[in-house]
Amino acid sequence: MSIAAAVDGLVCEAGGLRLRAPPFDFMAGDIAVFEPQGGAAEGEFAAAIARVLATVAFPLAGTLALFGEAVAARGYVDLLRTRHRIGLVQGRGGLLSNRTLRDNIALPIATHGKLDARAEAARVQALLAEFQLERVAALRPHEVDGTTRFRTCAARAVALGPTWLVVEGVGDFEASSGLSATWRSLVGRASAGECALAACLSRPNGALTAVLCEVGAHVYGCVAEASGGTA
Amino acid sequence: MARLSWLDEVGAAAIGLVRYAWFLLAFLYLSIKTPWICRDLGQRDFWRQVALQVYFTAVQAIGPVVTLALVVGLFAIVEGVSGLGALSGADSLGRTITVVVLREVAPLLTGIIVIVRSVTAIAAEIGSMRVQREIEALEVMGIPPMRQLVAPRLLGGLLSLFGLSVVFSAAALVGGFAIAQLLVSLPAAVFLGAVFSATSPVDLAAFLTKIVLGGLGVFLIACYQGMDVGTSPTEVPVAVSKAALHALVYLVGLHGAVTVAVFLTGTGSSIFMGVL
Repeated sequence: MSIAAAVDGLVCEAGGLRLRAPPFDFMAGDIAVFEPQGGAAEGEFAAAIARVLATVAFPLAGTLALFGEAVAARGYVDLLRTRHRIGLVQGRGGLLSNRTLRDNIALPIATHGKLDARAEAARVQALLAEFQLERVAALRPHEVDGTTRFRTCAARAVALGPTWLVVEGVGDFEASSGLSATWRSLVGRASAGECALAACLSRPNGALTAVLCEVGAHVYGCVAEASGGTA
Repeated sequence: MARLSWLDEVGAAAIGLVRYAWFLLAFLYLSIKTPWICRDLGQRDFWRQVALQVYFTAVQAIGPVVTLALVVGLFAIVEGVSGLGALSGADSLGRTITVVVLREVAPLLTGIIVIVRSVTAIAAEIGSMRVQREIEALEVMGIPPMRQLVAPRLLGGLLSLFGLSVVFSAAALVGGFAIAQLLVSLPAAVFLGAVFSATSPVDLAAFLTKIVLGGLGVFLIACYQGMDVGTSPTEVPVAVSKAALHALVYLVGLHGAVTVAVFLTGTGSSIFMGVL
């Protein structure tokens, strides 16, 4: 099985803090949780790590290799062509506000999917059903609550069947009843070997981490230090 | 020391201006190159974005543009008649309308309307998308923002500005003719004949130059300022304000430069001499 992602000496910056991720290699089917060590970093921690892992931001130091090649060594066009294999579930914002939830999910399929209109509509409908969004499909992001937006982000992120899936924040995790339907869908894809899943948390979340560890997740603590520190 | 400081400021401003122009040119290059690179991506949404931009910029602005054009046509003809004397004939009125409306006022006023309505809206929209991480979402989906957001707005904006300027010119001619009927008895064929015969290729070239360079410039500035927003919502109004001001300065400067260039050509100066 080929390595989906490999990280070495990764350092990124968020909210006045410098974060160092431990080295790791990821195969399809792996699940990882990134959380700040000691609970010192909050705020943009998850977004900062997730952006780097999803290749939309470059790290301050270290290397990220996806699908066998270092991200920094790829040209823009090459990176662009790789991105349909990457899914990012944003914890805040991210949905296009001038489109309905259905259109948000349809956008990557219409752009990359090479499907005819009927097949495209069927694919979107299947995702709406899987993430329980059928009732609100015609609404725009500002008209729904945060968990619905998270579900939509998740549906959009998996629309093209990515092999590297990055989830930012906790989303609609339900501590009392274990994994929510959204998390079950995401984890299910990883468990089935369709993708490697990285969950980036802004602060340690014992309940979520425990549930993810039950399905084989590895926990990676990221060292957070003041920005002026040595990387 | 004071003189050095003053020179420093002038030098810094000049360097800043050159850098800004360079960034805008690079931005224009990317907005053309990126859709070409990504031409294998689905095209339906791209053209939908272009159509939406034409709808928002041109179709929704037709009312105000026609109203303004009728008033400008009225001004042009009244000033033309009062300045030249009611008996100076259809030729002079035709030249007045051509020079004032078609070559000078139509592209400028249409451009100002576009700046007020669309340049500000585009800067605010793209800036908000930046803050809301929508642009980041496009990037991670492998959809380049230059192709999805900038190129359709440039193309749609350019088409809209051209269409609105033509509508403005036509409405001003109609308005001008209606007023001319009240002041001097002019058959429509004579009036329109005078207008068309007074319109030279140089006038049309000046009109098109102002539309194409003006349209590209103002929409480029709008998109650039929107994309330049960082992560804070407080940066959005600043970007809107900058976009409107820079676009206005650029548009007026461009119009001045083209007008002077036309004036310095034989055709332009002869038309002016004919009018005056």
